[in-house]
Amino acid sequence: MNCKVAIEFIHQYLDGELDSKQFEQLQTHLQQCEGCMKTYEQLERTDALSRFALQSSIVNTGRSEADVNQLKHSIMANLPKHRHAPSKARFVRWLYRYPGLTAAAVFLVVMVFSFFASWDHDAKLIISGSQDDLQHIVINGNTVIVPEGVELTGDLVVENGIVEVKGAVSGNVTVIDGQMVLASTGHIAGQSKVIDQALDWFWYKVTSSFSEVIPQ
Amino acid sequence: MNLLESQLVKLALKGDQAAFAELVELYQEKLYHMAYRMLNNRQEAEDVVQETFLRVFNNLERYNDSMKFSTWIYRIATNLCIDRLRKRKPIYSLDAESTEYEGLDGYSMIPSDDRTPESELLLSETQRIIHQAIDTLPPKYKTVMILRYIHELSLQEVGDILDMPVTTIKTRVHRGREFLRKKLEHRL
Repeated sequence: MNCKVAIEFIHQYLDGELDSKQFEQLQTHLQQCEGCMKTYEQLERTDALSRFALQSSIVNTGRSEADVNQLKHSIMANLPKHRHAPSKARFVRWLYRYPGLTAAAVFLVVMVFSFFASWDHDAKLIISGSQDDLQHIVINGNTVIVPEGVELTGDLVVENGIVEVKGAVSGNVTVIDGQMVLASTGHIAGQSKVIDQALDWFWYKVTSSFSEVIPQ
Repeated sequence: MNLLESQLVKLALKGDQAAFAELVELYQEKLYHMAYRMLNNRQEAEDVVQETFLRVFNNLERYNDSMKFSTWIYRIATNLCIDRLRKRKPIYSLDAESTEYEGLDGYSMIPSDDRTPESELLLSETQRIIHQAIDTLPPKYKTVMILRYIHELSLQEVGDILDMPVTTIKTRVHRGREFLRKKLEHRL
């Protein structure tokens, strides 16, 4: 046995983890090696003294009964009155237990909010149509005029405004939250719609997004 | 798992203050001595004990029976002590022995702990030397040595508390012991 192994065995012996066969090997080495024997004695003393010093200080650190009681009292006094609001904890636990439902509920809330937010926004005049068509349109306050003699080739969508059609529109005309005035000279080849109710508007959004997705 | 302790935890969870007080009674002084040995300061040791119980109280529902209650509470307290030792370190090293005052290190110069208890004086010179040597251990060895020796915890239990494999704990005990041997070699 070399000295390195012997030192390792000494530590294991002090940990109480050396079996009897290994212990015999260690003993044989210690009888032959003066250096290791000295280390062994020092380590054994260190171990015993550390244990003794640490354990005796428990009995001997001068903690009076008053100190102990005072600490106990201040521990108990510093605890929060209620561990937490139980209903909240139960709610939070519920969220953890049903992650799918939680996600669905959050999704629904976000959808409803965004729907109302986009429906009930301020009365800004919004016009959409193809770029060529928009050049010919006349805007007067919140009135959108398709002048006489002009022919719009695409669709026209107006939000929050009045549409006066004096010319011709070959696409659809849709008015949301507004009015449509069709002059005697005006002509709309496609469909014309006036929408001012949330449900209609919602339906319009849904169908239009579908018809955009699916080419007709 | 200690039946009494798990019973007390269950009662405390239902809001039974007396049951929690019982747990305090069981562990307060054990934790105090551990913290005192780690930090070498009465006030800080008391603070650690207090904070440990506050954390235990607030996290009772997270405690599960897969761990011994003692392991759990020791883990919380040890982590608090290690945090404090770490925060202390960058200011100035308490472990460095002062050149001006032979044999005095930073710990003996902490002003906040002037409440030297009369019976601490009863400590023998030998014990004082050993405590001084333990105080100079680097925190990772100090923690292991204190947990191992102060309450005779097994290597496995120390490993559970520190959330480390037993082989690591063994290595640290060996190195810590070696460190102490060299410190004490010429003094005892």
